[in-house]
Amino acid sequence: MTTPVRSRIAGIARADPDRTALIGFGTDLAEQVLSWREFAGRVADTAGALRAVVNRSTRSCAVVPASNTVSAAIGITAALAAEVPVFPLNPGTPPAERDALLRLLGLRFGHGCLLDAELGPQRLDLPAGPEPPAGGPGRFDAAIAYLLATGASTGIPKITARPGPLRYDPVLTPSLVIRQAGWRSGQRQLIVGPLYHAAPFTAFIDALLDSNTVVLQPFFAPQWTVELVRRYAIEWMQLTPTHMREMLRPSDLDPAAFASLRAMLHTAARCDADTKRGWIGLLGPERVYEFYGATEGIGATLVRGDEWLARPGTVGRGFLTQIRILDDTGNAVPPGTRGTVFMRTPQRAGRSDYINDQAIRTTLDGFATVGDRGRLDRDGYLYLEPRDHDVINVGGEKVDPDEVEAVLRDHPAVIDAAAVAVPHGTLGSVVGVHIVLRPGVSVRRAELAAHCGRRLAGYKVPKRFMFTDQVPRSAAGKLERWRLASPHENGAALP
Amino acid sequence: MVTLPEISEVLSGHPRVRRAEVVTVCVEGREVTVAAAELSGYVSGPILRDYVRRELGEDCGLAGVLVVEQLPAGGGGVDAGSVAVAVAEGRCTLFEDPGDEVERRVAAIWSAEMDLRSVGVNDDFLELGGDSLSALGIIAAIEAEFGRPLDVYAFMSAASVRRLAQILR
Repeated sequence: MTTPVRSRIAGIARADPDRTALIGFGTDLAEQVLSWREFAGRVADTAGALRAVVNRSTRSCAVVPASNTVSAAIGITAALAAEVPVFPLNPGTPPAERDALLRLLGLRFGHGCLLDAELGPQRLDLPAGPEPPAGGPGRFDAAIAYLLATGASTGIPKITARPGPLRYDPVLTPSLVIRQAGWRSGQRQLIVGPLYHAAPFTAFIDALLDSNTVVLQPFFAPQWTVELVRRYAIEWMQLTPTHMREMLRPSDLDPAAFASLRAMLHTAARCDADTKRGWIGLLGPERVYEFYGATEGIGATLVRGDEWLARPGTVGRGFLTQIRILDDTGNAVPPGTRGTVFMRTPQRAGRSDYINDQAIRTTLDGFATVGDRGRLDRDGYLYLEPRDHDVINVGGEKVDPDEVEAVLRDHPAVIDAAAVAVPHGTLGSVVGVHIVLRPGVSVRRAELAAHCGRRLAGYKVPKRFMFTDQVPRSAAGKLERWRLASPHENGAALP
Repeated sequence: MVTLPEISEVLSGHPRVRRAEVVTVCVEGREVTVAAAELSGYVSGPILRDYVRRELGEDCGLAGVLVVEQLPAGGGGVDAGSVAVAVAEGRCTLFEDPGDEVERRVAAIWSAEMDLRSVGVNDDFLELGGDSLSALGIIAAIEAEFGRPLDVYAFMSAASVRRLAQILR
């Protein structure tokens, strides 16, 4: 039994009109509270305005500048209710990347509609792409519920399209894997990550359809996040490892602030062991869940804190997902051997495709990959390895940049670090690091090198230290190493 | 008695099967009938096996379907030796009847919830086309039938009728 988004929202508002649907914060950080009746009313109005301007004969999409505000939340929900494909756009996207994304949208859509719930729908010109493939009920004709930008780790923008229209199904909303991670219908949820990123976006729409009360944090500030959890007695939240790391910093962090929390689910990037242990210590292993899955929806793994403690570093076992590790020639490798991670899931409903002609790599027997590398243990637990393009090759020795960064972040003067390959005359490359220091603190390079030398093999120790105000991270907290790639790739090499 | 060519013909009639051949191989001292199928779109071995058993009856004798990249061209026949190796390596799950009452009750629930003619005790839930809906259906039916709660995670970890029956015993 499935229900259209519009009827579902109206249904919740009828059943529970005075319960809080949404709590947001204005630019002055004043609290804005919408009951389900108010929220459903504003969604219906905005959906009506959107339907009036989109032309059904030319394919249209709605673009919502998706900062974590009440108006963005209404805009996204209105587009889903109007069954107009919606793309949540990072309002801070630099112009060149924004143009590239709009060009990608232009491949599939005749025109766009910029949807700001305060200002109403406005026409948005999309650069015309090449002619879409003619005729036939190909994937270009499939209805789309929403579009999400991905590809932060490679720097090549991609947009995935989730087949639609979206429907509420009491059994499948949210998906079983999320429900298994401590989610309960009608819960109070805090959304910390930005709505233009896949995980917070899907958590938000699941929250609406499953009648949650959603608290939207407009920007991440670690102590404020802790305060919001306490003030609103938050029961469930999804974080990234960056959020987790920052929130653990204060030495006087009180576990009682999280008393209301049933579960914290983290995803989006690899979490270093210290941060993971810190959270398991804070919440207890039964409330810490980790999810691994790609925006493309090809499969998922889940691991609870107690399982992780028994197998540190694992991202868990496949959840309704079969996992196979293949070597470069496409042959399956035995447990313990690393290769490319392929997954297969029967949940085709959630499977997305790219909107340009990039195809997700699949095997004959239906396994698909987004290119992540990893290995399985004998019991089927998956361990991820850095992607090939992140590995730093020092004279043939492979260095995992995450390991170097974790060691540096362990130094009291260091807030954040990013390790990259720096060209070297004889070794090909050596490890270089971009370092963000704690405000007002200084430290000598030699001191940091010695700190690393006590913890890392010689070839892993950074040979070049660059101090900076911040390292580039995506909205999901994923380190964007490609932004740090040396502009003089073939130029001056270190001696 | 159903002949091997009959099985092959029925299997080749599946919309995703391009070509199929059926051979008899020796597995652990037993003669078993196994089909090798070349596909035009992915479908799992256990689902193809169920398709044949639905058409020809459960006594048709087909124990498993091995999905291969390509069958030998020119009608030279599929190599029974390589099929036997694939079976031994676990790349082709063979049908096995329930060994006791618990396995029989669990298998009956799986067939009903997944709309399958018959479920082998070693068949993998996902290979059989299981998804969250059928998982929830099976869990609810097992909780009712056996009068005890069953955790989603435990169910997923079990993955086969045999291992699930072990939990329930």
